[in-house]
Amino acid sequence: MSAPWWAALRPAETRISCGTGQHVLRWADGRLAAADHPDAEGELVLAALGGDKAECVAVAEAWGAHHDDLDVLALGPRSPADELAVTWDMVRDLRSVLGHRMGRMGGRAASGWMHSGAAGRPPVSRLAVQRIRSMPMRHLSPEAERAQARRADLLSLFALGRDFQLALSGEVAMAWSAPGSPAPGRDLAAARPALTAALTGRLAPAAAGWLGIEPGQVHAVPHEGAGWGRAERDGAALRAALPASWLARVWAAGCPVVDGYLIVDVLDGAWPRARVRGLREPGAEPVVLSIRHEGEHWTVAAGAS
Amino acid sequence: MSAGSGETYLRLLAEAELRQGPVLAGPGPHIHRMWLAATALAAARAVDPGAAWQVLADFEMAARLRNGDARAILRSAHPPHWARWARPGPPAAGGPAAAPAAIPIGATLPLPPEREGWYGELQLLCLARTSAQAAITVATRWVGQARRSATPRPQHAPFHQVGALDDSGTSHPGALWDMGIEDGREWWDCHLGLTPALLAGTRWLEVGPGVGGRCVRVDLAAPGPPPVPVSVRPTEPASTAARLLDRAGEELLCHGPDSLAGGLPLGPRIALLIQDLTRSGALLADHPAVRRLAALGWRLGVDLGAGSYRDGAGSRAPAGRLPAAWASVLIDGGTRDGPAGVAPFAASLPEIDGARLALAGLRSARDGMTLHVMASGWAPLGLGWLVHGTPAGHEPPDVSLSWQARDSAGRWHLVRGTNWGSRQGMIQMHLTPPLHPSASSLEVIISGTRSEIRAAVPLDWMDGGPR
Repeated sequence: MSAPWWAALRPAETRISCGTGQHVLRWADGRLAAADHPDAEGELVLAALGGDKAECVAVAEAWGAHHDDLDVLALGPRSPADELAVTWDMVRDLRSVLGHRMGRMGGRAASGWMHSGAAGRPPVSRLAVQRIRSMPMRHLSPEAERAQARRADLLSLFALGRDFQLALSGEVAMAWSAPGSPAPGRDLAAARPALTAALTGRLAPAAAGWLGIEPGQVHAVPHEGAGWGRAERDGAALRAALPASWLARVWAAGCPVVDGYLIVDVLDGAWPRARVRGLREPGAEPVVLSIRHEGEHWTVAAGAS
Repeated sequence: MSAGSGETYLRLLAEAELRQGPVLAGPGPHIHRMWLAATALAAARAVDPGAAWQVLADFEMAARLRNGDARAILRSAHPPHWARWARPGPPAAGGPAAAPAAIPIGATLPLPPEREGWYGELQLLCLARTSAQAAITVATRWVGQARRSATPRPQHAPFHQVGALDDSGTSHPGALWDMGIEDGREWWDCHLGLTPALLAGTRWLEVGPGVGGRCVRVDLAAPGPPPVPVSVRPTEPASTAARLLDRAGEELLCHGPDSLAGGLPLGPRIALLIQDLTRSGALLADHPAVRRLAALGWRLGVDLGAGSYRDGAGSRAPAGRLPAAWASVLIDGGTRDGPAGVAPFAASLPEIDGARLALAGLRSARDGMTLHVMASGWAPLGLGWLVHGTPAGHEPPDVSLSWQARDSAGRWHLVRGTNWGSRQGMIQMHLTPPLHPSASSLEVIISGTRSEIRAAVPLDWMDGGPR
């Protein structure tokens, strides 16, 4: 039995403004937890009945709503050098605009961010007013309003920080990697272009460094059969077929290339150690490696077998 | 082409563009690479328009998330109307398109003095109508000045308000549409929209008032001129992608490879278009449409990246053969010898690809001509997209119908631009090069996806002939 997909992922923790205090959000073992809200589900029920929704609970709800959202892969980071400039100020500004609209419509946000608390719907500062005035304020359909609210939700998840961005990307990739028939409501064929781009966009910078080629020479497609897939040279190009789960198990863990090996799967372990399969070169058979996270990088701790 | 290959191509292109760290200029004519590719593939039906928009929105948001531009997040969640179409083109109407009819008028309505004594005239070409709409096609200009004054001719078209009264006593206020910007041109080609539409059985109209209360009477019951010869023949089906490339070739001929669009000359834009269509699998790299466009590029000295220079420095012509219209325009494209005049012909055409059309006269000038059309069930959506760029919200081109013309002297003409969008479904098509000076008729050729209409309209000039 293979390791859970999050075996090599670093647990993440952050503090956010919630109510009048700073609360801890933690992601570990494949799930997000609001440490200061032991009965988050109960709070959600109360919120649905008209009560206030705590920011922590709202974020946890948004996390669940986006756990299979391919937009996460389209918008999220591609490589360590690829940083999102998403801040809580930006999220607050967007919420102010959208809250103003929703209020004007007499409606209620479906996606959970219209809640109480410092990070929920704060008093609008003069600076925020200036920013809001510079935003497009045309009348939108309810469908477009919901789409914008959904994007604001997603940005709030990105604002949690890089480790959370990687974890969420991993969850989305795994949602589209389930063996056998896809889950109800998921059209794998329709998702294939997005998954192909997600794989290529993340393999390219890693493999380019691995082989010393241009990222544009890296072509990846989803591998949907048995085994880890393949990675072969085609002239100057690299052509790879990798399962979407590679994004979760390997890329999200930050170990696509370790000490000259292209890592294709994680066999077992727990961060900061993992046993993986890696390719020394394209076309070669993968070998088993033990790797260890030190500082900000993974290194090979024990030799190939 | 496999399902999803168009979207896959777009998404991979977006990845490549993101790696370059794009700085997006925002909506407007300065489009970015992804706009061109997405609208091209949507127009070629290589990708569902909604999917094309989604890729664009994701790309723009991804780019702006990397430089902290919050405004884009709201903008990118607001799809343009074309993204909701099942295919490029107007939403399907609730029934068959209403058949427009046109009758020639061929009369001049002198107008009273307006600003600083300047007075103009309306040359009334044709009445075009369906059961729900009516319009009179018009060429208008300033004629002279009633009093001595040093003021120059107004830059705008004559403003004088005219309308129509029918034989039942019903008044039809008129609205002159598309007078253009204040650019001081000599002639304005436009139409007078009449509201309400004419009832069936209307026998005559009086259009006015002009100077001294004069009116022009339009007799709808009188026998008209001999019908215009119209023929319909089936044609070989061509893919939408191929038709899009053919349209690109025509725009290249009409505007020249150096005309700027979105900050990029037309030649390189067309090279990108060829690249998008062939690499996405919408067209094979050696498709005849690619080859003839490459041949055109070679003739114009433009490297379109499609084999036109494959033998080095353009030493050998590529294999594609130029269509007769293209070859003709290559020769006559720069001419400025067109007759100046107005020809009030009228022709109602049979249905083509669900569209019903009527030709409603033209005005010829030294450097080109303007053909008036009433259309039902079709509009020249996105025509000029390649030349003028595609600002956010503008639709990709609909190439389901293509238009060409050939005059009786053998000179071919292509559509350089259009004005359209009025409630009446009126379209002004600007054709280039100008009519041959000796032309006595014009064959208008409309190509659909499976058939072609040819209508040979007479060039019987108003006021005694061309000037």
